Amino acid sequence: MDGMEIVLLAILGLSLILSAMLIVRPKMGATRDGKILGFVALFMLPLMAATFGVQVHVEKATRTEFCLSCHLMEAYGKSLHIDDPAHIPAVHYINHRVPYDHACFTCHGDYTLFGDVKAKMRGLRHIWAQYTEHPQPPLELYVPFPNGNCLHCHLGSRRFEEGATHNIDPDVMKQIKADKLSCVSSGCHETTHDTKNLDKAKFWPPGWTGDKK
Amino acid sequence: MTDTPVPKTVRRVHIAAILMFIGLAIELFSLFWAHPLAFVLFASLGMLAILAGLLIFLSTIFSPPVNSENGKQ
Repeated sequence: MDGMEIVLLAILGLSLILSAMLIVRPKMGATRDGKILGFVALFMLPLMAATFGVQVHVEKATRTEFCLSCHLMEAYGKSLHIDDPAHIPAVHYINHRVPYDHACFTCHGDYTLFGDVKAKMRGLRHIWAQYTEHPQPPLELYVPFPNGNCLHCHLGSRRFEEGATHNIDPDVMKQIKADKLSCVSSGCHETTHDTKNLDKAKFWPPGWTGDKK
Repeated sequence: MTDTPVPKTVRRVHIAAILMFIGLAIELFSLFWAHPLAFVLFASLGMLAILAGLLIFLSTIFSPPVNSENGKQ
């Protein structure tokens, strides 16, 4: 529980107590002092609670555990532990190249002005699809994976800029940066969430099964 | 024994407080519910109840005061 959640809980607790007082003794609201109390209890604190509430919910939705709370995502969560250096998501997750507790969002959230809002809207679309379309794995992205999500971290790094394959042809680097040649295209970093072969995969750390206790 | 008519202001504050309590309780519940539907619950029912309570309260305090004779405001 982070600082903002604690503040929100305090505001919620206080608002609930004051609202309950006005429910039990509504006549308080008719007096001048009661109106001031009402202004605090029924306007100021709830407004703060709603604003903080949105922020806390949006932040919670970026956590790995939130994404993996959907049954459909279980296999994708397991694939983060595949012990194979060619498996891109697992390499990033296991080696903490992405924040461990915000792993999904780090790669799948768009790094644009309204990236967080877009991600939230996409999340709501996922929920709608879950109950109306009953999707089955393997899942597909709505749009091709944008290179910008990789380049947000890798652009400018020596390993990327001087990578032999990236510079095999002068056009390759230009195409990668212009998002015309996908980082995850065939022959490049194509092994992403290999959920079909999980039963044959070796996981890290040793002995990890992914079963919830 | 006759019941005293409840002034409109008091009745409105009562309704606003009930709606607010429901909205805040939903928000509190949604914070501890680790499920993707928690945000939907908060953003739909919770926010709706909070907004309704807030508007009813604001309309109450900003409505012009009227002579409260005959139990009316």
